[in-house]
Amino acid sequence: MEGNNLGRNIYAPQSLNELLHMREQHPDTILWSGGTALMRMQKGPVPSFDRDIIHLSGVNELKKIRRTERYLEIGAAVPVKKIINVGQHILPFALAQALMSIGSPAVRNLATMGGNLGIKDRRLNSFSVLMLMDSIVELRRSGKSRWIQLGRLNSIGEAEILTRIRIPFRNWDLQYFRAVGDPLLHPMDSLSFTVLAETNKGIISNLRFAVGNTGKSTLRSLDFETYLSGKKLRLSGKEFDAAVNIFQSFVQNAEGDLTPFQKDRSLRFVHWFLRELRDVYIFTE
Amino acid sequence: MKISFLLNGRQFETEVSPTERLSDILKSNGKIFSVRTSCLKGECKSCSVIIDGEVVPSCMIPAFSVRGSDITTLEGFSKTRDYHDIIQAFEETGASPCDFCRGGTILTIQSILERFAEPEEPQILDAFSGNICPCTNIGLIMDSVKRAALYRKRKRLGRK
Ligand SMILES: Cc1cc2nc3c(=O)[nH]c(=O)nc-3n(C[C@H](O)[C@H](O)[C@H](O)COP(=O)(O)OP(=O)(O)OC[C@H]3O[C@@H](n4cnc5c(N)ncnc54)[C@H](O)[C@@H]3O)c2cc1C
Ligand code: FES
Ligand code: FES
Repeated sequence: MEGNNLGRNIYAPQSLNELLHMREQHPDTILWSGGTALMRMQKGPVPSFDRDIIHLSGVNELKKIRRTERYLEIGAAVPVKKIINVGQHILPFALAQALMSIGSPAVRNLATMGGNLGIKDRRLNSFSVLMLMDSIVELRRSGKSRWIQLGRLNSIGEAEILTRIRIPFRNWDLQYFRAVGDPLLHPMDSLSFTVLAETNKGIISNLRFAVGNTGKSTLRSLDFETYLSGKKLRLSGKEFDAAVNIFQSFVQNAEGDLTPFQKDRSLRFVHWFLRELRDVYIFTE
Repeated sequence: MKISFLLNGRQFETEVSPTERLSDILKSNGKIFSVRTSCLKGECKSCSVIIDGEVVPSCMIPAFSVRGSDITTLEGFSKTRDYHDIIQAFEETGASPCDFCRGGTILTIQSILERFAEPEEPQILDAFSGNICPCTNIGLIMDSVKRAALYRKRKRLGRK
């Protein structure tokens, strides 16, 4: 134990086993990874926390990046900067974009992916991209480990810890990510837009898209995905219009899930993305 | 709790509450004047310091996490050769950040130069994103970063 403030204890485990043990003994603790979200959410000049804290920085098992032929595995406490430095040949472009839009380089020296996925009631920058990539996450508690699809991660159990994120490699040759706003402090005025797709001889296949950073939910439109999958690049004007219409009715039906600002921005993003497919994309294979 | 760390190359020990912001500790217990605070949200960079080689916003860092760290503020950095490249670039471009922004601006420039030998505009803008200074033209800062990079390149090549 490191110290004590107003009755709050700070625990600093030095190994994963020690961490799991501490978490079991003190399930109601705050896990402190980079601390950037926890500090940013503080209201006053003097930070105060209502529970004990477990500081993850001494747990080396959570700070590793591993790469196999099939996937990239990232420890929950690896700083975002280090993930970005893995390089563009390994890190999928859309994920790099999502991570690069977190704060500034100084913030990214501290921020981690575990912290980005670990905030209750908020889906932040990396969530949609990782979900669309079929990433899985490992949740551990003392003596138990489970891997689940990120898309099914609604909340992390009281005594659980997110330890690793595994991202399967796929040939996503179309990748788009854009975000506006601050999804942590102002989720109603924030939005991300992610598209991934594979192409084969100029034909789009397996297109996936998500509107995220809107608060608790991440939205997908199967109609939009199905319509674009199978289309030949570049899109024709007619296909462009049809895709916009499908997206427009999706946004209209998302009543309650999206604020007027988010609807407007998601439409702008979809126009931008479809224009890329209509005007810019040149098939070079 | 008692914490100790290296502050500008010297061992520093002080009594703090564990979640106190490092920026406050440096200002009040460490008598460091280059560290200022404004947003307390990790945006404005006026509280930047270098911890174990990385530039970070010290307002985002609680006391308990810096035990045993190596912390450099502008006071320490100004004794290095790297500092003088940046100051020379400021003199030549006419960029002149006020005392409030000086520490953050110089350390942010240093962080760019450490990562990129030939920094480009998007990289510089990214590093300065969130900066709230209304008076210094970002164009001048951009020129200064590029010039300082050039001086370092010349030094590496052994030219003046
Ligand atoms: C200036 C600024 C701008 C920002 N902009 C963005 C942005 O545009 N988009 C964005 O997504 N975020 C943004 N953030 C928020 C934050 O920096 C990121 O979300 C970051 O990835 C959080 O990581 P962290 O390690 O600092 O999390 P922490 O603050 O340490 O933790 C966040 C939450 O996750 C929990 N947690 C941490 N690790 C684990 C774990 N291993 N298992 C289970 N729970 C865990 C914590 O208990 C806490 O509730 C910004 C922050 C700042 C300061
Ligand atoms: S006071 Fe720390 S970044 Fe603004
Ligand atoms: S240089 Fe300090 S506010 Fe502009």
